[in-house]
Formats: sequence, structure tokens, C-alpha cells
Amino acid sequence: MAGSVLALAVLVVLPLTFLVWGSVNTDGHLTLAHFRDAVSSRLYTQALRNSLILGISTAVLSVAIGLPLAWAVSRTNVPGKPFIHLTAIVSYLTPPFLTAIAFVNLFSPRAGLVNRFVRDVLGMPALTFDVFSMAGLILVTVPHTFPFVYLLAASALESVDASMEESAQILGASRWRTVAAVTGPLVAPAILSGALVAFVNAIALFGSQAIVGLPGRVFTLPTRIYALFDYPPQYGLASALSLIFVALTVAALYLQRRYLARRSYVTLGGKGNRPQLVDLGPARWGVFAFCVGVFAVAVAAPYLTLLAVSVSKSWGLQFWQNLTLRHYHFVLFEYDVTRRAIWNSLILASATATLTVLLGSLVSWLDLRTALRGRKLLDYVSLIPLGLPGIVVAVALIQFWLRVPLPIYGTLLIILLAYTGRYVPLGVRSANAAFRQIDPALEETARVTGAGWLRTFRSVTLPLARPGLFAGWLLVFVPALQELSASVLLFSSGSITLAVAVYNLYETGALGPVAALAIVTMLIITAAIALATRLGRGRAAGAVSRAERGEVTQ
Amino acid sequence: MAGIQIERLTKRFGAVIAVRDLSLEIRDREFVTLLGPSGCGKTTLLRLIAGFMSPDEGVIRVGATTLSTPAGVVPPERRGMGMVFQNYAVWPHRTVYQNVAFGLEVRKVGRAETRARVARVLELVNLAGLERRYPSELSGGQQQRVALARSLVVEPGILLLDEPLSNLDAKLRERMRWELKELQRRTGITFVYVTHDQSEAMALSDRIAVMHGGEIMQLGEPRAVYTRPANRIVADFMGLVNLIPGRVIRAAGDDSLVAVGGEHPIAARSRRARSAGRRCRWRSAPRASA
Repeated sequence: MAGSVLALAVLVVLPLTFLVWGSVNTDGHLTLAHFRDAVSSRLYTQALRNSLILGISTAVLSVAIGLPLAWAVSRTNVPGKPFIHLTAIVSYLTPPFLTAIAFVNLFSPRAGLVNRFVRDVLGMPALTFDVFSMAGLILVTVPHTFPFVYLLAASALESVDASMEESAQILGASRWRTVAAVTGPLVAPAILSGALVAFVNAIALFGSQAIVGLPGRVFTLPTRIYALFDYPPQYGLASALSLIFVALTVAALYLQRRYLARRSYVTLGGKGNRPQLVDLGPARWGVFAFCVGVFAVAVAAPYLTLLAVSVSKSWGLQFWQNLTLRHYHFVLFEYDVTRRAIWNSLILASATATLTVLLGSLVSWLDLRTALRGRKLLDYVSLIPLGLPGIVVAVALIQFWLRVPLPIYGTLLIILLAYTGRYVPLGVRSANAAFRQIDPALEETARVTGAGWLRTFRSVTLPLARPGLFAGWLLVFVPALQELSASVLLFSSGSITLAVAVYNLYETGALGPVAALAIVTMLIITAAIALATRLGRGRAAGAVSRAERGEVTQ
Repeated sequence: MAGIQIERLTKRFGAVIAVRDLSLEIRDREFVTLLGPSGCGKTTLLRLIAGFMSPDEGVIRVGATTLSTPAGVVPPERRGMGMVFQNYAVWPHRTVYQNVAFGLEVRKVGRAETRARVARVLELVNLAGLERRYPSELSGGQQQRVALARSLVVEPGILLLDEPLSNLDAKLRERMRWELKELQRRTGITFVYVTHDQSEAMALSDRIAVMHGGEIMQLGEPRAVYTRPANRIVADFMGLVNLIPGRVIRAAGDDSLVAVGGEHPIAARSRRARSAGRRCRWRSAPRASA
């Protein structure tokens, strides 16, 4: 108990307190000047507006894409269902900044491959698309957010038993009437919830907003906060902006929870549901084409582009005429930052995943199996970081550790603290789900048989919870390996991470090496997932997708 | 007129034949039970009647109207039937009133009349006063009645019931049985009732169709099915019937005699022994007590 209290205090409570303190304090005096600056300057109101436009458009588009996919997979006889599901999972796992970089290579105003083709070959300059714009930002963000709507809507649609709809049909309701009166209202909470999670995630993605937004002068809250750390750093204003950002996130998450709590029907029943399948006839090929389109934009285009850029001497319409591996040689053998970044990220991701799952197990175990006072509070505190975008976590940690006489700023340790703080909710969620599945009677049986507390935990609880805990580990490991939003404010040359290395290289304009490093990053992520899954003896594969749903349901 | 004629109906799922060349005539205002173990095809038959499935062979007619042929099926929403599901399928996002009124809304019945008819049917199923409740605030038995009221309010000629009582506890099941029977008598609706519980079938039905392997093994009045099962499958399923090994003493049709029991056999009457001296299984006919 004391350990987990201390951990959560250092990870969450104290940094947050210092963030609030920093936002209302100038040289030791209480002041609202920072907030006044934040809401009166056009720089920041414009950023807030842009963040809102980005979040709302992304949420709407995520529904427009995720819902049809979910419906197709769970309710129709569309061909290629595993493929559609995989499309959503891969889009979700792809680091957002890689998608952004790929689309820059296709749609940057002058050098973008598609733009060149449209302008120089087709001779229709009016049809070019400038990715450095709000529309471009939305385009590169949606592939990362529609899976939230997809996963939530699909599980809701699957859980509505066919008899609910058949009851309406036998009473004379047409198909559309049935959708409007029964299916729609039943799955609406899940869809809305997915849209709000998409909103929260979209506005927090520093990578795409920096890569696509900054060149087009489309500033958002994270990029504005980032800019405040240029010399001279304006900590107070950054803290105030961070809190406004947090308010936005928390408001969306609050809406989501309230709506879900009040109108959630889909978890009823649960066992033996038989969803009603629609025979689409020939139309199923049209639906399939839509899914292929999503695959093309969200998966095929980014990966193929990065692959092509990474092996071409010069990026252009004839890129295949000069293939080369020298970009790979450069990033792997000449550019010494890369190996350090790979190593750092692997250490950070493994350590973060292990720490969050341990802490999560402790907090959940206290919550579920003991009657200690304050255990609920512990559980709530561990969920606070859900409302904190990555960059805000970084600002809070800086505020805290700059005032503490421990020199951890600029080390791997502060990044580890940031990651652990950010992902502790995932650890708690996974551990909670894993322990909840274990009937207390199983543990009580061990106790009655004469096993002590520790023995019971070791030989009953832990083995039963292991697949769930392992899924949680993977669920933290993957995003930690590609974390950018917090790292970008906390790294130093010694503690550089993979994502930061990619971002820095991108800023120098070296497109070929960036693409090569991006491909290497993806290979490392894929290898790590494969290795981790094999270590978990394959049990985690199914658990991961379940845990993903758990995560996005929050 | 709401009698149902089913002729030579077959329904396959891949290699599995769920309903096999089945013919059945259900009379208007009759209470017919499809009785059998799980997997016997009874629910499939009910869903074929409802129009949720199309047959591979055969015809379903109601009165003079053909509803289902392999070539085409009148969709469920245009059959004017009612259906009660095993899990009730009461819509959780609608109040009791909204659940029950739905069918009338679809039929564009006026407001005042809707209100009156909903009130009447809720009275009928003893739910008056609970109009504003949501299903989550109701007990299992009450949800069951909402499902019933929802089907009855549109005054269907035919009501299909798929194991409607199997999720209720024993006491409530007992009472709902009686209420169902009463309801059928009062409304004059044709009931097609699916269950695997033979005592339920005995208590409710005008006629029982015992199903096995997609076929009807026996069709008849409850007492006849119980006391004179057509074959061993029916006898086994109806339960309470003892099969005792024995040897035929006299084979004489209705007036046969069989020796049953081990060392000290006793003579027992039989109605259809084949030939004297053969081993056989003697079936004890239960007294009709139900």
C-alpha cells in the first residue's frame, strides 16, 4: 500500500500539483497573468480553435470510416473480414508520425509525388493537394483514430442479440425502421464513446501536428506548448496552456463516461449472442471495395511510400530508376544517434511496461481483494493520466523536477517517469481485468487447503492472471516504444529515443534517411511484438485485442 | 382465419438437415406445441414460420395465402404474426409503454387508440401501472409479460413462442403457464409454442408435435402422446415410461401377453407383440395423471 501510494504520488500527484502551482505563480507570487496571456493572445486562442477543429473533424471522420467497417465485419457477409480487422489494428499500431511523414512525401506542395504527377503529368495543377494544412492534418490523423470507433462499434453491434431486431421486424417494422428504433439507439453510446476517444487522441498527437501543422502554420495547443520551451522558456505560460488543454481532454472523457454510464445497454446479456447477419448479395463487393480503400489510404500508402522513399536516391516520378540502400547504411552505421535511440527506446519501453503492470497489479489487487481504506482513491488517482496529453505530462515533470534538487532532468530516468506516469492507467486497467476474471473462490480454496497468502498468490492468482497481465505489458510496450509527445520535451542527446530521432532527422530535411529510419522503427516494433507474443506463448494474441477494447472503453 | 399449413418442408444448414420433409397442419385457434430436445429442429421450424428463414423445399401457407416457398418468402414484417423470444428481447432503451406501443406506431394507429389498447393489454398481462418503467427495473417475469403484451397488442392471428418460460424460476413458470393458457382461450389466437419441457407441453397444448432429427415423430393430443408413444424416441423423451426387457408369450395383436422380469417373470398385457418366443422390451403405460 505505502509503496503504491508513494509511486503514484511521485508519478502523478506531485507533478500535477507543481503544474498547477507553476501556472499561477511568478517569482513566488500568486498570479493569474499566465492564464490571462493564454486566453487573450490570438496566438493561443487560434491554437485552441485549431485543436478543436482538428478534434471534432477527426472524430466525425472516424465515425464515418469506423462505423461502416464495424457494421460490415459484425453484421454482413462481406468477404475478407480478417483483412478488414487487421487493417484497423495495423492502422492503430502504426506510429502517427510515420503516417504524417509518408503523406508529406506524397502531398507536400512542390515535391510531393502525387502532386507532381497531377501537375506535371496530368497538367491539372488545380487538383494538387497541400498536406501542410488543416485538411492535411486531419488526413494524417484519422488513420490513427478511426480504429477506436471501429473496435467499440463492432463489439457493440456484435453484442446486440438478433432477437432484439427480430422482435421489431415481426411487429411490422421495415429494416430501416428497425435500425432507427432498435439497433441505432442500442449501439449509439458505443459510437459516441468511440468518437470522444478519437477526439481526445487526435488533439494529443504531437507528432503529426508538428510534422504537418508547423510548416503550414497550423498551430495547435501541443505545438504551441512545445514552442514555449524555445529559449527563453516560458514555463508559467506553458503550464497555463497545459491546464487548458487538460480541461478540454477531461471534459471529453467526462462526457464519454457519463453518457456510457447512463445509457449503456450493450453489456446486458453477454453470453451466447447471435448477431443478425445481413446478406448483402452483390453489394458486398461494393462494401469490400470501401474497406480496401481504407486499407489503401491508412496502411498501404504510408508503408509503400516510406519503403519507396527509403530506397530511392532521389524522390520523384522516376524514383525506381535509382535504387539504393545507402540511406539504410547511413542510419544504421554512420549516424551514431540511431543505435543509441534504438537501445534507449527498447530499455525504456520494457522498463515502462514492467513497472506499469507491477504497479497496476498492486493497485488492482488492493482494490479487488482487500478492504483497506483509500484503495478506491488509489484506483482513481491511477486513472488521472488518461486526461493528460503526453506533452502535458512532460511539462508537469519539468515543473516538478526543476524544483527538486535531484539532477534527473535530461536523463533516461525522467523519460521513464514520464512514460510510467502516462501509461499507468493501461497497467491498472489490464491488471484489473485480469484479476477480476479470477473467482475469489479459487483463491479461497487454496487458503482453506493450507496455502499461505504468498503461496496462494504464486500458485493460483498469478498463473491465472498471467495472460491478462502479459497482454497489458504488450499494450504499454508498443506505444512506449514509439512515444514522441512527452519525449520530445524531455530528451537530451544521451537519452534520445527512436521517435525523437526520427523527428529530429525529419527536421533536417533528410527525407531518404528519415524514411529508412521509419522503416527500421516499424521493423523493430513488429519484431518486438512478435517476440513478446511468442514469449507469451501466443496466449496474448487474443488477449491483446480484448485488452485494446478494454483500453478504449476506459 | 389463421390456420397454418406446412407441406413437405426441408431446411438445410450446409450438410446438416435441420428440418426434413416435414408436413404439419395447425388449425385456427389451436395451441400446438413443438416439443423436442435441443437440436431437433423445433426452433428452426418456428423461425421458418416467422419468415426469418427461407425453406430449401416445401411450402408454408396461412389460410389461402402462400407465405414461404424456396422461390420467395414474405418478410416477417408483413406476416402480421407475433413472436415471443426465449430471452424476451425487451428493448432496454424503451419504457414498458414504448415497448408495447411500438407495433401500433408502426401500424400508424392514432394516439388515443394506442393509449387505450396498450392500457388494455397491460391490464391483460397484469402489468398495469408499470408503463413508465424501464426493463432493467423489472423482474424476469415482468419482462416476460412485456414481451407478451408487445406481441398481443397488435392482435396477431398467430403467436409464435420460443421457449418463453425457460428463463423463469419454477414457481413463476407454473403460474405463467396457467396465464398463457387463459390468454389463449380468451384471445382466440393460434399459438405455436416451442419447448423442450414435456410437462409444459402437456399442460398447455391442444396438440403436441414431438420432434426429433428434423422430423415429427408423433402428432397428437397430450394424453395420447403420453400414454401411447409412437416409438421409443417419443417414449424416452416423454419420460416416466419404463422399458422392461421380456419375452413374448402370446402374440395376438391387442391381446398379447409378455413375460417380464428376471428369475420370476410375471405376465403382462401388451398391445402389439410380434411373434411368440421373441425377446422384446415391454413398455409400461403410465396412468394418465397429468
